[in-house]
Amino acid sequence: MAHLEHSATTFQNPVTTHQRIQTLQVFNGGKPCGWLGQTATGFWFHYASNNPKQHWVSLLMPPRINFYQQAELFPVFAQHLGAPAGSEADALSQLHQINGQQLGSLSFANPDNPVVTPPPRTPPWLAAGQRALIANPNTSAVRRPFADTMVHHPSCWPLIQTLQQLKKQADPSNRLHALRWTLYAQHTGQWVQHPRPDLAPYQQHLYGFEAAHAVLNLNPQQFNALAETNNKFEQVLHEVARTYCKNFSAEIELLQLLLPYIRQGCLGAHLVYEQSGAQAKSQKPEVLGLEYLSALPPP
Amino acid sequence: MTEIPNNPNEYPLLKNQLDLATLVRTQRLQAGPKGGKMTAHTLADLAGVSRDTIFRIERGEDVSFSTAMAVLRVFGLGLSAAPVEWPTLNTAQQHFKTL
Repeated sequence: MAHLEHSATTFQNPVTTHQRIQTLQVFNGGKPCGWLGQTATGFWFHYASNNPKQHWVSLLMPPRINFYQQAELFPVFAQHLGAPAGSEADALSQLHQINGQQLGSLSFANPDNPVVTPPPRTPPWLAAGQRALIANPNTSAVRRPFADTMVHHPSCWPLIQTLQQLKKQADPSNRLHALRWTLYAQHTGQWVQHPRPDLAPYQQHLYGFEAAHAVLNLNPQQFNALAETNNKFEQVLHEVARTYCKNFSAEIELLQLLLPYIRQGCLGAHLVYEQSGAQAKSQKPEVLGLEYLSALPPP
Repeated sequence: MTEIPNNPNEYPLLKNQLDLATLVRTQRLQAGPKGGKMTAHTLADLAGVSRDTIFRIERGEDVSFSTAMAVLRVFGLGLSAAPVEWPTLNTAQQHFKTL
């Protein structure tokens, strides 16, 4: 009996947390896109196909180059791991563990143990400043659960209300993608919830989502150091808007209002982009604009 | 003055005023007699602007388009338009001049 109980426990926890993952399969928009691997000297990413029209894994990693290799974890993946994790030895296991809680169209699977866990319908315990993705509790149980709702600790509510006011002030006709989510934010009493900011209308797919520090190829510490240099930080963020955003003058206008919050670390800036369709003229993704979210406190 | 190369690829793409600042400064430091530096005062005289304006350009601050063009003309340079490609992993930090 004791032997059976032991077996049952082992069966319920098939992924041993200490097991080091060497390779992760990467999915973009739910479709297999490539492989992310770790070696003794660094990390590599390999697109699964040579087709230059396939979806981009990152704005810095166009598929015209099939294979990328560098000593540090690629910024598009490292952005999900917080401050020190990018340099840690077991980054792939950490990426695998947070799978489902990260924003953007990328997801991961361990090819040796492809277990899919459905998203929770109620948020886990949240510390101040933390957030999580859950499946909307009001969605019919018949539908396959999908993490379409973002929940925040209630301490975020004053900041979200301020952001809502700034959005109405700088973008009254709601042309920009930025901060649209604040217009739908609700305080339920226990938490604050709104649709996730990387979700396309009608929930057809998830947009690409890349932090400003990731598109600058900086780690969070370098980005914080940059934020302390007054004029330069502003110019660099303006240049990000000019490089990627179509409506960059309006983006810069809103960015100026949010700059103090970004500089203090209360708010994180991200780029949101949609992958180009097969018929699209350009092979590049279409950047919808900058998006802002309350920044997570350092772990 | 140093001879200006005719190949446009030898000049950097100007994406913003910071790139203009770098270009003007490098040109001024080699545009003097015997390939040495030209003083900001001389450059200002030749371009018909004030010395302070030269320093404003070299700090990456905003100046009028005609002023920027006048200063570039002193070095025998004009502008041409070219597509600005998105940066890649290797070029991102250089593109945004964050280091």
